[in-house]
Amino acid sequence: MKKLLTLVLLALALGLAPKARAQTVGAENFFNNTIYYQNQKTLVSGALWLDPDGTYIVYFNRGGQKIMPQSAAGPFQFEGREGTYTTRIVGKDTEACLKPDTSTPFTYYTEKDGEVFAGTDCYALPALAVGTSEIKTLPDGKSYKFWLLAGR
Amino acid sequence: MTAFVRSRLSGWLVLGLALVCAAVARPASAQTQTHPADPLAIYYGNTIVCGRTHSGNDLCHVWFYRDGKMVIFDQGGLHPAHYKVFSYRKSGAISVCMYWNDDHTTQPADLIEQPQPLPVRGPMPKLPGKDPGRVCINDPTGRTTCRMVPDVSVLPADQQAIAHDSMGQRWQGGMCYPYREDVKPGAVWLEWDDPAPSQDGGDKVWFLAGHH
Repeated sequence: MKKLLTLVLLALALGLAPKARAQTVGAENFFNNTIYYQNQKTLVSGALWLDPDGTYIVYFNRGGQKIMPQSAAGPFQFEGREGTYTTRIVGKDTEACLKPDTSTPFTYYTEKDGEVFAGTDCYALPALAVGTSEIKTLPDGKSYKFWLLAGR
Repeated sequence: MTAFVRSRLSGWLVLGLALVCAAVARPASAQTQTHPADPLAIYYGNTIVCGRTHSGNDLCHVWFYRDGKMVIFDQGGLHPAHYKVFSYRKSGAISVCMYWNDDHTTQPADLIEQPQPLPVRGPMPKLPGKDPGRVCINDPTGRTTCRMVPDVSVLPADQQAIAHDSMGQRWQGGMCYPYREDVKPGAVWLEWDDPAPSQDGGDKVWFLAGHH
C-alpha cells in the first residue's frame, strides 16, 4: 500500500513538473521590458509583455475607428489579450509561440487582420538591444517597425 | 394596576421592542446581503471599457486582478498599475482608486501618430484662461474631484504643482472611480459620477466578458 502511494505521488510529480516549468529560453532580454511594434502600412501599433512564468499580455491600438462600438461586441479602438507562450529557436531567430486565452466570446479584429502577435502562432522576436529599433518585413510580407523599450 | 393589565402591558412592550429591533436590524442585514465579500469579484477576468459619452469611441480598457494588480491600456500604451478598494458611495457603487506603477508611458518617441476621429460633438474645447490647468484631489473616502482652473498661478504652491501634473503623474497619484456591483458582462451604461469626465460630464462604460 505504501509503495503504491509512493508510486502515485512520483507519477503525479513527474506529470506535473514539466507543466509548471515554462519554456522561455531566449526571451530573457524581454522580461520587464516592452516590445513595441507598428504596422508600417495600417499604422496599427501595440505592445507585448513577456513574463518569465510563460504568460504574456499583448495590446493593440487600431487607431480611430470610423464605426463606433454598436454593442459590447465592439468594434473597439483598443484590443488586449493575454495567454501563455513557449519559445523555440528557429535558425538565428527566437520565436515565441503564443497561445491566447480563447475563452472570450469576441472577435479580435487584430487577429482577423493578421497583425503580429495577435493570434495563436509562433512569431520571431526582434533581435534588439534595449533602446534600439528596426524595420523588418515579416514572412507574410507585412512591414513592421519594432522597438525594445526599457521597463514597462 | 391589576396583574392582568400589567401582564398585557408587558406583552405589548415585548412586541414593541421586538418590532423596533427588527426595524433596526433590517437595514444591516439587507446591506450585508447586497454587497458581496469582494466588491470587485464580478470584474476579475472581464474588461471595463471607458468610452466617450456620445460617440462611444473607447478611451481605455481596464483589467482587475484578485491580487491588487491591474492593467490599463489606452492611447498612451499598456500601463502596469495597482488598485485600492475604498468605501461604498450613496449610489451603491464602490470607490476604487487606481494607480499607475510609474509616472510615464512606455512608448517610442518616434511612433507614428494614428489619425483620430473627431468626437461627435466636435473637438474637446481648449481650456480658457492665461495658464489653465486641472487640479485633481483624492479624499480619504476614495473620491477624486477634479476642477478646471483658468490661471494656475493664483493657486497655493502645492496645488500649482498638481495642476501642472502630466497624465502619468496624475495617474501615479491615483484616480478614483465608482464601480457598480449590480452589473453583468454585456452591460453598457453612462456613468455621471466621474472625476474627469471625457465629454459632456460623463463616460460611457462597456462591461465586456473576458479580457479584451
